[in-house]
Amino acid sequence: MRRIFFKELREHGWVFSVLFVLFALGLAVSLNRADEEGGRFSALKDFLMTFGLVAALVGGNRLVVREYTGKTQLFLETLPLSRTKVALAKWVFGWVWVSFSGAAAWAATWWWQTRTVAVPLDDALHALVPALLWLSAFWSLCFVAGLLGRYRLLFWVVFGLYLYALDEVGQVQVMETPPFHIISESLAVANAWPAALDVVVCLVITLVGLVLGLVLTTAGEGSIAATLSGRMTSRERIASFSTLLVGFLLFSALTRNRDRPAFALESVTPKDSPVGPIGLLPGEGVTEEQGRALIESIAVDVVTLVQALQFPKLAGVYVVAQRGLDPDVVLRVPLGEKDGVVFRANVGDPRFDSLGLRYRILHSIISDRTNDRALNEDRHWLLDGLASYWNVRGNAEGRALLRKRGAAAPIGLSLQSIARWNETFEKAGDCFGMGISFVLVDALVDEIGEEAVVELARRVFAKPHRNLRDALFEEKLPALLKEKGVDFAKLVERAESARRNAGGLLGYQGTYELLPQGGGQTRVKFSLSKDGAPVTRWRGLSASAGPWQAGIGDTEPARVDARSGDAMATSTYSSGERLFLAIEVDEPELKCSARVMQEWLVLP
Amino acid sequence: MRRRFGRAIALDGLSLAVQRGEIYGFLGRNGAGKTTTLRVLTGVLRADAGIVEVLGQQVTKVPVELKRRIGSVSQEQHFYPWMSGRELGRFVSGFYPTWDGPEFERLTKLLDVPLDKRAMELSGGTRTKLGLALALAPRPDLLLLDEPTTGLDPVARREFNDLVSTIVKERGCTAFLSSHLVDEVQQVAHRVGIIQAGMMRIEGAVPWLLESVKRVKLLAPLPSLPPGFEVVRGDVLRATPETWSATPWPEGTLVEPLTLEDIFLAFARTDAVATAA
Repeated sequence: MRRIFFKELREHGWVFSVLFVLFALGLAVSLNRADEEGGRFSALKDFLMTFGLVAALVGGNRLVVREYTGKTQLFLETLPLSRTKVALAKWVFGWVWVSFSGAAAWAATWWWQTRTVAVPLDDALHALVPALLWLSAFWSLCFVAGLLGRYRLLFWVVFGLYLYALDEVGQVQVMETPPFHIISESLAVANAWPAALDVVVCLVITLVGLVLGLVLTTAGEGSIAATLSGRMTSRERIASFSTLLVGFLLFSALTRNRDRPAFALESVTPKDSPVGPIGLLPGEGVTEEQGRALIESIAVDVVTLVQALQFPKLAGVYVVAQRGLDPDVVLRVPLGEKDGVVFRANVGDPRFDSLGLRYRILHSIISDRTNDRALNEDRHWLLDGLASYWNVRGNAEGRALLRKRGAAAPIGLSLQSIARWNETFEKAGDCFGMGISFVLVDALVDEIGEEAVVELARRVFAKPHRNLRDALFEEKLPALLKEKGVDFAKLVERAESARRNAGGLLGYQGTYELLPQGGGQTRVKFSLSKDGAPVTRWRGLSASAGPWQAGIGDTEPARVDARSGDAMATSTYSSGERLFLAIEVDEPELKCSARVMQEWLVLP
Repeated sequence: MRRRFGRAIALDGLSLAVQRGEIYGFLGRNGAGKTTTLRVLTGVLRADAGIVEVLGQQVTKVPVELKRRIGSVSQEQHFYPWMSGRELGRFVSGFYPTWDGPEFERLTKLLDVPLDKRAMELSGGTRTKLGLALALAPRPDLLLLDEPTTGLDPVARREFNDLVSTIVKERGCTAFLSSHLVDEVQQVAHRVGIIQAGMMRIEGAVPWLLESVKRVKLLAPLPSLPPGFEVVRGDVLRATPETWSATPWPEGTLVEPLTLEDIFLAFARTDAVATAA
């Protein structure tokens, strides 16, 4: 067995060494990214989902498949060597390889994290154990698959289809079921041992894989899948192809007929409309009249925008009314483009901000159609401004409300604030952000007219990138503005002065205090007053972010609902952590949740 | 031994015995069942029916201990292409307690095999010679050779066969040489067996075979075949040497001796089976 082990090391060592270096580079990228994602071992989780699988697959191919495709098994057959020993040596070698890769990734992740936060060994082991269990199980699977000879590719196709069908047809969250669950978020957070069921399933797969591998090796004639190593006969090829074809047809029939929620209310869109159905799934507290009014206003916004920007046909827009969500929260459902744009919002709440929802819908449509190019910093203001502006065209009341929001914003318009638009918008929050972006685009419309602004937007957003040349030589917004004769600095000045003249700040005074707790831990105390008097209903938000994280992005901050002038943040933060802190209050006058304080800081 | 592969019958009641210390030439056409026989003997395949004894030990699956006493060389050498001859020697030596390192060096030198070149850099003939050196270095009791010289040039073939003869003579081991090259078998084998369609057609020492199978040309047809004779094919008859010498043939009859190749052709051609039956 020792001879076989060293033979494998000599034969595959260089491939595994090269892979190891690639893994290290990949892990380095993951570690950098993980700082922005949170979760002390999220880089390890990413590693296991990608490189861990690659390690096992390559291991199976090198150690098992090559032995029969290269016919060297015929040489092994002539030697006085039992097949069990050969198979066992190969399994152990593969296991050592995947475990070593996983353990090295774990150690590197642990070391990386300990540079900024203290991660005790116990916590680190919470990540190592599931990682090794997962790798062992997947390695055993690869080992068996390799021993299936000419049927191995069929095995992987069927396995992939099974997982896909589980997710698409069965609506089963694959990552939430064992054995995949063992490398889910709990591994990234590393705060508990894996669930007993996950451990058992992984161990069973490992052992069954090993036993099945030994049976395949020793049963029948020839060594190491010799009997299965030939090419498929034409009959087998036809049978496999037909089975897969039938599987695909069944699968596509099942997915096509999948039940969709009954969108009881749907807008009437003409046949040649550039937008599919626009529907609402009403929930408790949503009257038909209210729902109808909302989808009709969305339909007008979307159809006119898609026509104006000459976008290709949109699959549809759906809103699912969901009680329990905060009235200012609008969540996009992560679905594919063929399912349309789907949002969840608490439509029935009296404080629901319908302008906010409509803004988010238009924003999503434009950013989707441009493959997120619209989110680039130089044109993001135009995206936000156009999405805000489009909702309130010809709606005096809406325009007045957005002007008011812009005027109340604690951050003004300047060339600097526009150049760092993502940061500016984040500081302002959605409510004020919509306001200031509206003010800017409104000023632009005043200067060059709506038609010219739409043409500008079409050129910046709508032109599809057909090839790399288009992407490299795309038209830049500042150049286009100049072409239209717009002096941008003067435009910003005018917009800012209009904003200031429209009203003023709301008079809120939001502050925070850092309270050291000992052991390098700190708690945050928020306070909010208006015109000197404490405010009693508001929210404090806090989140920890990585050193390279420019904005809070999609991270959901921890939130405390205050019922007095002061409130303590729910989480405790460690020394050296980079913190995002904000205070939001429901402002009846502005009909939105206004961010009255926002700060980034590094804890001392 | 009987062995089927699906509907195809590879071995159909084959029976043979090889004596210790002899070189047994196993002649047959392609697909006659030679390789199947050798694969059963090395334990790679199992016989569906029959008894197989190797080195006096009855086997259904050749155990590791028995395999250590067997050296084998096949038509193609499937060595690890990245291993040099020396590395192969080192790798193989670990599986044989009887491995003789100096003998391996001597054999490779004798056969002119460069030990520092990787297997993938060696010609087919040199790889076969390396295979023979690897098979002989553990000093096996039984040497199984499955058409090893196919593809070798005449000089290399002669070297190969001479070495096998010498080793068998010196060590007293046994060699089982499967081939369809009659001249080489005639050159080295003590006894020869001819197999056709999985059945042993004739078996014996080469001089005995030459005395047993002859061509008879008659001037007029005989009313019946003389007792003790058997038609192999057409005018080729088979009988014991004693029967041949004791049988009086009519005047003008021509009894021609055959070469081993003629005998092989008479037995191995497909229509011979029907004629014999």
